Amino acid sequence: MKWFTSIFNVVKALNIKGLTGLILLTLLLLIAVFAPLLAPYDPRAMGEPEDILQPPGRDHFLGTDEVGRDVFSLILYGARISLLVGFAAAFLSIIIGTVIGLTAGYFGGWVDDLLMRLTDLFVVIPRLPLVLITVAVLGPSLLNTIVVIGILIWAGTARIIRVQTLSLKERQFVERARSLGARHLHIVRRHILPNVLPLVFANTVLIIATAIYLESTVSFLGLGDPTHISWGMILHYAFTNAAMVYGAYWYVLPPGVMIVLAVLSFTISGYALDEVLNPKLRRRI
Amino acid sequence: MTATYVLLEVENLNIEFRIGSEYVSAVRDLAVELRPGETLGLAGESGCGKSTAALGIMNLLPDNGRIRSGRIIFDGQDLTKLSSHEIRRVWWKEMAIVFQGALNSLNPVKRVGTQIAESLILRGGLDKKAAWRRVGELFELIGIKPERAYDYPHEFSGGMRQRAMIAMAICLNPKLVIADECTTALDVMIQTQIMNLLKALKVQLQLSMIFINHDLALIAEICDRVAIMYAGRIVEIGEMEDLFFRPAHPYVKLLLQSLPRLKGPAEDLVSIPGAPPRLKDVPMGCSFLPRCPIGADDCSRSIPHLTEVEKDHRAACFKIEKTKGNK
Amino acid sequence: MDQPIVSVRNLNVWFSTRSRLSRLWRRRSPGVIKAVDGINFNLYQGETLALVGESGSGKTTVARAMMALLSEAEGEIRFEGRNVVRAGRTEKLKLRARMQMIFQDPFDSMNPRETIFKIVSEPLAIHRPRMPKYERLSGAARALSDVGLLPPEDFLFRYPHELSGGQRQRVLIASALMLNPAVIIADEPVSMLDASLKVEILKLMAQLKKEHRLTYLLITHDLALTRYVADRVSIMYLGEIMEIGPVEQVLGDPRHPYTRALIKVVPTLDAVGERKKVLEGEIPHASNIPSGCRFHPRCPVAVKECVRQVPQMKAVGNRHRAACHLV
Repeated sequence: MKWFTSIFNVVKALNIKGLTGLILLTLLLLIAVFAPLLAPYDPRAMGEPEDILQPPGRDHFLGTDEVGRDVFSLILYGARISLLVGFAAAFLSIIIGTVIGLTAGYFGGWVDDLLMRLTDLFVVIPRLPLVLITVAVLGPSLLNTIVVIGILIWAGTARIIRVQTLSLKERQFVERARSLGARHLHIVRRHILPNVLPLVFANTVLIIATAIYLESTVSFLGLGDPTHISWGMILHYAFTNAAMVYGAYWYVLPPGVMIVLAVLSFTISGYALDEVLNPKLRRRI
Repeated sequence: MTATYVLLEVENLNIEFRIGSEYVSAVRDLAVELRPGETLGLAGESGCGKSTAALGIMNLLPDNGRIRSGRIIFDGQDLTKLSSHEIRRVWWKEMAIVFQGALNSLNPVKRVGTQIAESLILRGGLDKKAAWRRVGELFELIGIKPERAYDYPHEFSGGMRQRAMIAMAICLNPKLVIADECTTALDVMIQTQIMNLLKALKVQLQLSMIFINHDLALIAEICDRVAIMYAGRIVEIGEMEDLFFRPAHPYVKLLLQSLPRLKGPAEDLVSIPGAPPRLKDVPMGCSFLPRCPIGADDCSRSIPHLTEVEKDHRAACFKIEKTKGNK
Repeated sequence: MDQPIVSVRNLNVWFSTRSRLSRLWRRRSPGVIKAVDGINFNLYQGETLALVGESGSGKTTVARAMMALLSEAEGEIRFEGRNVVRAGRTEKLKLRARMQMIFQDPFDSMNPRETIFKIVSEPLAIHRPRMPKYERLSGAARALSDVGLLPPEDFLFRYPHELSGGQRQRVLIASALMLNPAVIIADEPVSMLDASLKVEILKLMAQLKKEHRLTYLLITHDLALTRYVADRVSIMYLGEIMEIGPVEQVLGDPRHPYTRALIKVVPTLDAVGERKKVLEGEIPHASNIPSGCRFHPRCPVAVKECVRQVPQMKAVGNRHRAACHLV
């Protein structure tokens, strides 16, 4: 019950910007969830030769692609994978980042040094070559895409969590727990984790935005899972089939717009959320 | 009584803070006057509003604070009616405030002397040579070797930083200096050094000062007149000896009895049950009633105003007549 | 004299400002701070011993060393037959149940996301993890009643920010009693509380001491308070004990020049108006401890011997000792 009221309060506190982001976000989620109901066609259904690359018209709201599939349905179904991979990859990166950040911040010393150098490595590593190599070695699949993106973006979370852990470690309630004989697990579980998690949540939405963007990049390059439809994937096929040469704007624009909208809505929501949550985090009532 | 020139006159000052969506009153109906050369003490425990009152007088309230009503007449001008631009001219040149000398009161990336010199140049219109000469004079005044003016704040000890803050405050010879808890968080030796410095400056420069502190013993050392605040109001105000030796308000009496002494019989210290009220939950009528040993039901009906106990000594209590008898 | 409950012999604490690795081979190089320098004292059952000192005196470090919270401590701290400094993990756990600590900041000592119940019963969660919840609840309720937070149900499920400073400190005292300790180390337990609340908390602590047969080690910078709450007082300076003895003797007949200087500058109401002759200078940094008697640079009566020889503790009265060449 407490959860619900806190979420409600947060929503109430958002400004126009945040509200817009939130509404857009919800719309996208609804599209993803209800795609089968909303899509007029089966996205994989290839059409007759005369249906190839048709501009938007009565039968096809956004036209068709190079094998006659309905672009509108593709877009709707594409939301599922784009968002799913986005969420999953973000989730993975948060877990990795939190574990590493917590360990580094809590134990300090050489553990901290080692883990921070590792984090630095993952900050500077050029993303594209890493993705190429990983996919080349492991093969393109949904799971691999998620893993790759997760590995790419955990570093930011790790740094944030580490800093927060470092300052929490010095708080008197942690010292008190130690003076009572608490073991590390007790302290981390009861005192550190609950106080860093809010930070994580505020950060999560922004991470999802990044993950969605990265997924579309990976798919666009053709390194994504070919058996699943995502917006990046649609763009990939559009380009590899020289859609622009044919002037098939209806094939290129929609996926691009959706990617932008998704990233935008998550980013705006993320910043607005930060504004709402942060003063509370910092203020001692 | 002849019209003596009053440097600062605060009338019915009400300051409130916006917390969430509501406004909470932090200072209520504050009225004080300060004559030139006088040191007025504002004492009270945490949350009583003394620091807020000082910030209000200097127009340094944080974003969520505002003066709801009242007048602050400084040297003939009503400060509440001035624009922020005009207020800026008053700062440092006419009125200055010394905060707790924490590391974050001085700019950590500028040399201490530079910060004072800048103030002298920008606001005092001195040229660079004159400014630095004055910095040297000031350092002599505050008891630090002038060469140390080239150090950075982190190279100064806590006590030295506090002295630097004092130097910064007096550098343009303001008419009024407000010292806000400027001895808190210092070791007792250093605290005494700072108090000695303030006392010396008070005489040397004939400072008019508002001295804010929660430690009544320090207040007694330096102040000519004292005002004790509780829950945003002044509950007793008068000449220092009158107040300390013949307190009239029950709160002040209990407070004085709860202070430890080094000499005399070690009888048990008196405690005041309960705790000062939160600003949001100030009781109706007399705000001290819940903790008052002589309070009665009728004390909750209205707010007691400051009534005369003896010449130049007033207390806000309905039961004054009774206590005045017992000397 | 009866056997002390805790005896401290030759306690040394070195802090290094360099990385762990370089500390291995250069113990006494610059960058090493000796926070506590070979101190000795006893703590007797049922007494309240106050460790008084300014910043850098080492008093807080001693407290933490006694709680086995410092890996940098060396020497002997005998408690219930064991040397705390050398205790292994299981021994340390047992010790911690018998020796509890109360910290200075009542707000920071509480996890803002936990209920009072969880905070009070944390010792049980750590030492008796298998205790069923209802037992922990009743234990917590009993502890809260013991410290005057009545009715306990009103407080158990509130959050720290809903309580006042005094109430929070009571909760922490209650928590310290949960495991029936023998010794409680209180690190500045009232310095962050308002004057009117200090007395209440101290009285509570005195009452609990009798009821639960406790022994207190009280760390404080407030010399005046010790007169009311301590049996013996020990004055520390830069990591050493300068004077130790029954509180009336040390305060009434101080033998060490530092003690005398401290007493002179304590702000109390009975000293108002007296000229406070304060020590020159500031406490030297712990990395730069003066030779011989470490107080000699600031001592008003230092002689040549004070620069060369470290003074030994000499008896100057009944159980009253001071480390000075001139006693």
